[in-house]
Amino acid sequence: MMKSILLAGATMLALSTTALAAEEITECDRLAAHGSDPERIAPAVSESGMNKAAAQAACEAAVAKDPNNRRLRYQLGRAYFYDGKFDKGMPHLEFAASAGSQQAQFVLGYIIDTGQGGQTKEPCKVEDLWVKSARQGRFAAQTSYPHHVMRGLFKGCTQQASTEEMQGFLDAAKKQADDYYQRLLVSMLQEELTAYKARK
Amino acid sequence: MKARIALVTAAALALPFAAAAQTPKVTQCDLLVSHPEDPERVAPGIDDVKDKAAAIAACEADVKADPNNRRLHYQLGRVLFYDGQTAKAIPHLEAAASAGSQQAQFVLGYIIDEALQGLKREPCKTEDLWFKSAKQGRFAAQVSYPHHVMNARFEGCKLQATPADVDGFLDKAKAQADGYYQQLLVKTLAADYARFKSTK
Repeated sequence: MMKSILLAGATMLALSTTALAAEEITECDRLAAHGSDPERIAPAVSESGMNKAAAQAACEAAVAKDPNNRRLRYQLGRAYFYDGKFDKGMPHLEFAASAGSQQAQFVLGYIIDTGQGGQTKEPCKVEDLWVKSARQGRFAAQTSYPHHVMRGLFKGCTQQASTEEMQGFLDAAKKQADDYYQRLLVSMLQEELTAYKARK
Repeated sequence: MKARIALVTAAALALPFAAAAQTPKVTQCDLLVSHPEDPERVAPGIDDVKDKAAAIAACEADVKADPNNRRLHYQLGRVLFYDGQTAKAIPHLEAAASAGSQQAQFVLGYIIDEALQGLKREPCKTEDLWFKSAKQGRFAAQVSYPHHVMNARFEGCKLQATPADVDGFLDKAKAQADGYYQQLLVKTLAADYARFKSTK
């Protein structure tokens, strides 16, 4: 459940990467696409609805054919992670995040932030992943980044986003918020950021 | 749209009322207007009531046949409100809230708080409705009540919840939080409320 939650979230965004141009939908997409991944090209598969063994096999095959495809690498990482195969999952999530997947950037940051799967907590790595994800428009990162900054959770790290940029993240998040709770969360963070700026 | 979103909130809860637990008859009103997150619903949830005229007619007939049924009153109020018939909707939402529907208590408090569709903002009425709803276990009220307390949105009202009550709301909300954003929301509120209490 927790893993499902951590890999869930975010809102749909425009498909902006050239990698997405009329791509072939693979078996990996059919078995492991995440509902909130803005780059997904097949209907979403939940954690509980995923055939993990089949998804791992399909995604391994798809990645072998197209090793630089960040979407497939994220999905393979996801299928392993759900199955508790953290050591196998992490390199794929790392690859996808490095290749620019905002989904992988947020999720990998979350895993590291919470120490899921025995990962070492590395706040500065989380800061870096989430600022990249937030800049690409990921709602989860746009809210989580300011949340962590205001609570000193990135203390000791180079904070790449200024207060003004964080305000921009929250303004963008406000436009994307699609239910009562998301709106309440953004509203609270905006109120906090105003107070935070005044203290600075 | 905003009104619809306002009525589409909160987490599903166990049925705490004897009235709701007695295998109630599923009516046409239930089939057409049940809210997905109403803990008392007895039919599949409907996010978007398509044929409002038919739904209003069905709910009016069902309420006439069972005038003390808070679930049916809530559903009639819901569809009338969606249809912009605010003056007609409010008495049914009031009846349902007074009769103990935690769904109606939260929703009525929300639409008053937001002054939707020309309603007068009455913070003390919202306080009362959300307090009751939160006490009954409604996630939306359990998070909204502390938020409004901290933001002085109930200023001038008699706060019915003690700090221990509010802590209890947040503890219960934490246990119910479904998904990353709800978890982040509760976590943020809990941290803020701890700080808020320490400054009092």
